[in-house]
Parts: sequence; structure tokens; C-alpha cells
Amino acid sequence: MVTVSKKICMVGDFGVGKTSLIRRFVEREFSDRYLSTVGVKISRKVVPLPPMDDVDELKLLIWDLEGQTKFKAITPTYLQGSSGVLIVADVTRPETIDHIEDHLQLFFGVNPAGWVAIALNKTDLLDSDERTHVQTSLELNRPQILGPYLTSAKTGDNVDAIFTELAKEMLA
Amino acid sequence: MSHPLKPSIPHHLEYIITDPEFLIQEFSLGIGAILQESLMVGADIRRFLPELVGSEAIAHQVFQGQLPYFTIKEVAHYGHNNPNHPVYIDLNLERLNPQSLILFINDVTETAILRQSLVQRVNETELLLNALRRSEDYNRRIITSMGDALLTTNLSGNIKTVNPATLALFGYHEAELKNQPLALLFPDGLPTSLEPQSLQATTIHEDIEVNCQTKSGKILTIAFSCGIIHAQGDNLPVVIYIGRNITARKRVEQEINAALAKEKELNDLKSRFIAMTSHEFKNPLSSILMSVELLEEFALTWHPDKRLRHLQRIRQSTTQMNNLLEDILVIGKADTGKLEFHPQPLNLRQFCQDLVEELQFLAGESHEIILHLHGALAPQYDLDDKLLRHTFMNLLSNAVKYSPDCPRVDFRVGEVEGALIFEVEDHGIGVPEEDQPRLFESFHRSRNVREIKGTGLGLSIVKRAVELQGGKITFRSQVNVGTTFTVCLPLEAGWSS
Repeated sequence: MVTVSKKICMVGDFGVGKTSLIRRFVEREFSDRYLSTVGVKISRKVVPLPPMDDVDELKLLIWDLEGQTKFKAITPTYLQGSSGVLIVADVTRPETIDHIEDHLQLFFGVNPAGWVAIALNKTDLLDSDERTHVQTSLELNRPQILGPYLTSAKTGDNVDAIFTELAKEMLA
Repeated sequence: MSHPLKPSIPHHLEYIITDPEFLIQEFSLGIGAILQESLMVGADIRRFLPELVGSEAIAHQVFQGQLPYFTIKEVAHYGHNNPNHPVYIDLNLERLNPQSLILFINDVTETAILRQSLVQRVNETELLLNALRRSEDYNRRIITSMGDALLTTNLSGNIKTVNPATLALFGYHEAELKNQPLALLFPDGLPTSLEPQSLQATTIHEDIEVNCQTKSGKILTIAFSCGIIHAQGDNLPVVIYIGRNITARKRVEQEINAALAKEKELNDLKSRFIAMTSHEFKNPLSSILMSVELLEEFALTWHPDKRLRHLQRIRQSTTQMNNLLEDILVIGKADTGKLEFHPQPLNLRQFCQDLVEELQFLAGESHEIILHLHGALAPQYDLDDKLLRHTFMNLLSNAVKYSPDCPRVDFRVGEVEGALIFEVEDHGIGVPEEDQPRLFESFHRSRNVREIKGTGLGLSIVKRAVELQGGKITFRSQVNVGTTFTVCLPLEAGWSS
């Protein structure tokens, strides 16, 4: 039985749902109440993997970083040693989508070989037209970037998928 | 516990010393209380501080002296001994000596919790402002793009806001309307139904149709929905008006209503026509039939006088039907626009004298028709003798017919100020006031005619004939006093010679 531990970080503007995505993924729970994260909180989750030669299971250490505000940028030292990062934006706040590019630069500045998955969160608040529009308006055809995924921590849409896909890429 | 190469560490600092593989060599006394863990020498530090998982490579760099230190601030640590309440710690990893790393741990829970409540408030406010801005922008876009006019006023009726549709509809600039009374948009001031005082709070008043006036003076019909809301923080009510231009719709409605009324009128006319003709034709036909049957049976045995009486009755009935048909044909022609005005030089004096003579003959001795020719008449006027005949045959025969007990009928003719004036006056039964408005309608007969026969077509023909000649007909009448009809035919240049 070989267990591998990997660190990933959740990055994004404040209030986009980073903590909620972790909560949905790890605890299968959701709350509408906004509770801001300060500093960093680390959660663990064992991710089941399809049969592989060298790894039986993957223990994900998910670093929930304090969201970026106009008063406080994301501390780059948190990203050190992170094999992957999940960049989260809120589909109802266009500026959080605009900031995805900044977060990408920040992460690749620290870990040029890391993997990134993009989550466009809170899609439960959109109708089908808006969903299509959001998905097609963001072009991220670059290596080491997965997504964008239209996620909803509230309904669970694409939450497991985005974490699992990112984990697979980090192990490959 | 002591470490051979450990420099003296200040007492207030808590620390854990490990080898390069993160195996614990030593720790300060207070560290267990901070981390809520029971640490053991020789164990992997990552068992108690999983926050260090993934930092192995960095730790190695620090150990090799490639990095002076590695810091992670404000880590929420959930200890095994107290899993529900995090402690916030700052971690600072440094190389202690060639065999060891030292991790300084500082409990910052108090400041982190304070900062959390501050960040929470700031972020909540920011999210709220953001949502408000978006909502405001959304509403503004809707109001800006809506096709209906939207205005708000205060309770005094002064305009506070207008949307572009309002400006386009009324042709004003925004500055010309703001703070101006709403009454500006109405030709006769603000209608009562739209006054803020007459609007009930909490009720939406819909489809109040009023006439409005644009800046250029054009009148529009607008259907307003309005209501009062308490929108602002100071609770001063705002009156909202949403107006839709229904001018075109109203016009079409009016046209449809007019067409419907016309159709109804035609239907009524048809019914009256059928009722009247069946009645008016039936009597003379029965009369003819009866006389014919009697003549067939008894002609040979009857005295010639009696035979003649029946033949005369047949003639009289036929004439009656023929006259009726003539009238119907004239009305039909007038309705289809085939009755035409063909003026020709006419000796009016002679025409009137002949007409009076003819009618006097028909009236017999029971009545006296007196012709009064006023002033100097021109030898000839350009007139349509057919139309003139339709007009005065009807008026004069009516005058005789409806004055059974008063023999005198006056017919006055004269030229006054460029017009020919004709007056036919009788002293008969008159027209009741209730019937006067409908006197010229086809088939309408006054309620006081009793057994006096008639079709209700005569005056209708008269009116059409007069109007076709460009003239006007008026009358004054009083029951049991008499009636006077006045026909005025304007003389245009070249009419008289």
C-alpha cells in the first residue's frame, strides 16, 4: 500500500467560494453563510485513484488560502511546495474572473512545473444561457491548465471532478 | 533537555528541533499546549504538524543554507486534543546547526481572530456594495432601454427622474423636465386622476388614459400606470408613472367604433326600411287587389260610377306606390353618391309659381298656399331644378299634410346677402322636442303624426338635396303651433345672372 501526499492550494479573490468548494469536497456539506478565511487552513482528503502501478492512494493536503482583497495580496510563500493550484472565480462577479490571469502568474512564478485547474464557481446562480456565455468567454488553452470547470459548491456540480482531475495530472 | 550546539534561545519563544528528515530531537515546554498535541522525541514532526507536508524540499534548501529561513504565517492548526477550535500559529523554519533544523512556533490566535472579524466585515461590505452596484446597473439598464415612459415625482408633483423613452416621447431634454411640475406634460394641467393626492399608497393604478402634450404641442393619448412607493431612506414617498403611448391604438379604436356604429345604423335602417315598405306597399296592394276582385265579379252589374270609383282607387294606390318607389330611389341614389348636382339657368320666380300652383291643385280647397317673393329676384339663377323640386315638393306637401286644421301655408322666397332664402311655414301639429334631433333621419316619424300617412323619407331626401346644392336647412317648431323650415342656398359667383 503506497500512499502519496500532495499539497494543493486554493487561490482566488475573497468570497468566491474556495472554502465552500473544499467543504463540499471533503465534508460533503454546504452553507450559504459567508465566513472569511484568514491565514491558511489545511484540510486533508484521501482521493481514490484508478488502479495504478506505483500509487495506491493519494492524500491531498488542500491549503485554503485567505482570499485576495484590494488590501491584501496572496502571500507567495504559501504556494511553495504546492504541486497544483485550484484557481477559483465567482461567475457572478466578472472582476474575479479578470483576476484569474494574475493568480496564474503568481502560481507559475513560484512553481513553473505545477498544475492549475480553473473553477468558475457559483454556477447555480446562472441560467443556461449565462452558463454557456461564461464558459465560452474564457479562453485558457495553455499547457498545465485544466478547465475552466463550471462548479457549484452548493449543488456539488463538478466539485469532485475538478479535484480528481487535478490530482491525476499532478501524479502523472 | 539540552542540545550540544543549541545557542541560548530566549525563554518566551516556543520551538521544535528536528533532524533534516523532520524527526523530532527536542521541543520547548510550552509547545504541546499551543499545538494541543502530545509530542514525542524521535517521532516525525509531520504527525503533529501536517502543515509541513509538502515543505520537505524547502526545508532541505534551508538545511543546505540555500535559503536563510522559511515562514508560514497564520496557519489554522487543529490539534488532536482540541479538534474543533483552531489555534493560529506562525511557523518559522531555520537551520540550527549542521545536524538540525529549528522550527519557531508563535501563537497568533488572538490577533488572527481579531483580524478575521475585521476581514469578515470588510469583505461582507465589499460583496454587498458589489451586489448593489450590479443591481443598480442592471435596473438602470432596464429602465434606460424600456420602451415605455417612466417618470418619478415627489408628492408635490415635481419631476425627479425620467428615462430616455420619456424624453423621446415628449421631445424634451432631461434638464427641461427635471424639477419641473408634471403638469407641464398635459394640455390642461395635471388630470385629477394622476394627482399624487388622489393616488392611494400601496395600490397600483392601471390604465389611466389621459391626453398629454409634447413640447411641440402635439396631443398624445397615454395610458398611465402609477403608484406611490417609499423608496428612500428618509421615507419620503415617490410617485412612479409609467406611460404608454396609445394614440395610434385609440385612433384605430375610434375608427372601428365609428364603423361599428355605422354598421348598426345601416342595420337599423334596413329593418326600418323593411318594416316601412312592407307596411306601405301592403295597404295599396290590398286595396288594388280588392278593387280588382270586385270588378271581376260585379263589373257587369255595377253602375258605371261605382266602377269608376274602384278604378280611381286602383290608380290612386298605384300612384302612392310609385311615389314611394321614387323616394326610395332618390335616397338610394343619394346613399350611393349617384344623386348629382347639375345647375342650369333657371327662372326661379316662374319655378316657384308653377310649384305652388301644382301643389295648390293637389291640396284642393282645404288649404291655401301663399307665395311671397321678397325683394328683387334675378331673372335667372344657376340652380338644379330637380333637386329644388325634390326639396320644396316635400316641404310644401308636408306643410299641407301636417296641418289638417289650419289651412294657411306660407312660402317665402328671397335673396339676402348673397344667398337664396326659402321659408316654408305651416301652423300645424308641429314636431315634439324629443323628435327634433332625429327629424331628418330616414324612416323616422314624429310620435304625434297619428293616422297621417307618410314614409319618413321626405325630409331625409330634402336634407340630402339641400346639402348637395351646398346649402343648409334649419327648422323651428312647436307642437300645435306650427313648423317653419328655412333653406339657405349660398349664391356663389356666377350663380345669378
